[in-house]
Amino acid sequence: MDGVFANLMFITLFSEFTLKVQSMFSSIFAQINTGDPTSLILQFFYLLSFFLFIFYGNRLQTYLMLREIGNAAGRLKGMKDTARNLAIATLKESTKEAIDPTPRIDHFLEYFTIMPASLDPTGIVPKLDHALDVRDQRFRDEVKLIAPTADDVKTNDIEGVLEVAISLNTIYRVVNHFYLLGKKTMSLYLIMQIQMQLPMIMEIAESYSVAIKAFADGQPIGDGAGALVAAKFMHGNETRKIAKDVVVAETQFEGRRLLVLKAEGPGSTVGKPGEAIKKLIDENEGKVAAVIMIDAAGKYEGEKSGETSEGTGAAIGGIGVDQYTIEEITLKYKIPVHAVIVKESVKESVSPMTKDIYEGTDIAVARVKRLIHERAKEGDIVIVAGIGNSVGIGQ
Amino acid sequence: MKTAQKGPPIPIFLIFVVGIFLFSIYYLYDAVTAFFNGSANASFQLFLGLFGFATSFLALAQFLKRLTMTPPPVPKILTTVECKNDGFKNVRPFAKGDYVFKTVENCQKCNEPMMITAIYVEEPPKKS
Repeated sequence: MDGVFANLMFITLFSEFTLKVQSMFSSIFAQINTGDPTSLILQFFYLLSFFLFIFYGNRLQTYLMLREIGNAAGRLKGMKDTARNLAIATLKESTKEAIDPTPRIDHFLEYFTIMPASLDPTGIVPKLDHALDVRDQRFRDEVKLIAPTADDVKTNDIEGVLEVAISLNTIYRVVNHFYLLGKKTMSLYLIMQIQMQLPMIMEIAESYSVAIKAFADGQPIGDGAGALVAAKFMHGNETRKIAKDVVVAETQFEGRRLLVLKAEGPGSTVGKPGEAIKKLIDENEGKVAAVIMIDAAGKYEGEKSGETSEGTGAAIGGIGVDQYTIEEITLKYKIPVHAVIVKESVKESVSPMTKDIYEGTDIAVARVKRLIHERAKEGDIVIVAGIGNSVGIGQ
Repeated sequence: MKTAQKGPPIPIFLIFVVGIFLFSIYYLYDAVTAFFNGSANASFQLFLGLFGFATSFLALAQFLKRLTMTPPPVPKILTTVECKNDGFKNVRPFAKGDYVFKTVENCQKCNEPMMITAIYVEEPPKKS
């Protein structure tokens, strides 16, 4: 029945189309006979555009998309070149030696990390942790090699600059790859994939190009909101190193013993807070009333930057190694993990800290104090972990 | 490494757009005369003229917008310096080497060392 209906529909449409074309041609011939050239030219162009859009509509759309991607690739090239030049300038500024760091930086801009095979996911976290440790060490060694006279803070800042320059270079290479591949194949669907994501890609790239200056100058970035909250708790107290690039300070609040940790500032680093929390819990034989984590987190469109909210669970980004470590150790001793987040956009998280976010950290401090008051008794131990990049934030 | 190519040079683009603009004005004029002469072509010419006028106007507007486009302003970073002794507060532009909780210059009032309490971006004035 469906087949018959489809056939009838086809016949009807085909006859209508034939009639339409017939009437068009008869109108053209009528105009030739009456000798009206303007109308004839108009009809010709009308018909031409009609057939052109039927057969070449997709190709036209492909060209428009390609042009958009090409323009974006051009802008990205400018951004990655600026980032490269800034990385070179920062390194030259940090070393008194007359060696030109340009060739080494150019090699390093395409540095990559191969993630462990996940075919059999058992035991993948330690492998990931190891791969990231090797990567971090390689970065540090590279910076030390180019700028041996740079102190630890400057070394961390240069690492941040290099990380951002590598990210911008990678974004450019991927977009340019799709642009050239799209041009070669003229495949609409291949081009569409990158064109649809371009607004997000460009937003991230633009924020990176602002962030690189912040890293080079040592300015706090939005991601450092968590670290700033912890710094406000630990300031004025003696600190000790607990894990790689992480410091802890002991302080008191309403009779509760607080162990406050953050990445060691003011250099650019996030450290290994997972390992630090594990060590602190082990040191206290699991007798910890609560772990409170503060971190910057992505906001939804329409939400105000710097707003705070609370929840449960390990508030920490990254690849998941630290989160896994915290979840494992808190599960072992059945320690509740509370989270306080400071909301911000992806762009804000890597750009210099805004006043809204800075004010949000004061609200976060108040929320953490309330949590400590409500979730722990006098004499209890509470771990307060400020997560995030500590660039421009001391302790 | 191959890279993205630039678009056509600006003068060719301008000549093209201005050409379309002039043609559309001609067609609009032609449409008016055709209408008063009672010719059936008036509507076609009006359509063509308006279409050409709209596209060339849009293209020219975009071109002028691009020409007058200013680069995004460089964010101004401010450092807040506070004296814990008497509460004196000073906001100054960020200087390289500043970081939160760094002890800096002495207070203008009590001559005690002051401390950086905040570093943030100066927000651009919001449009009402």
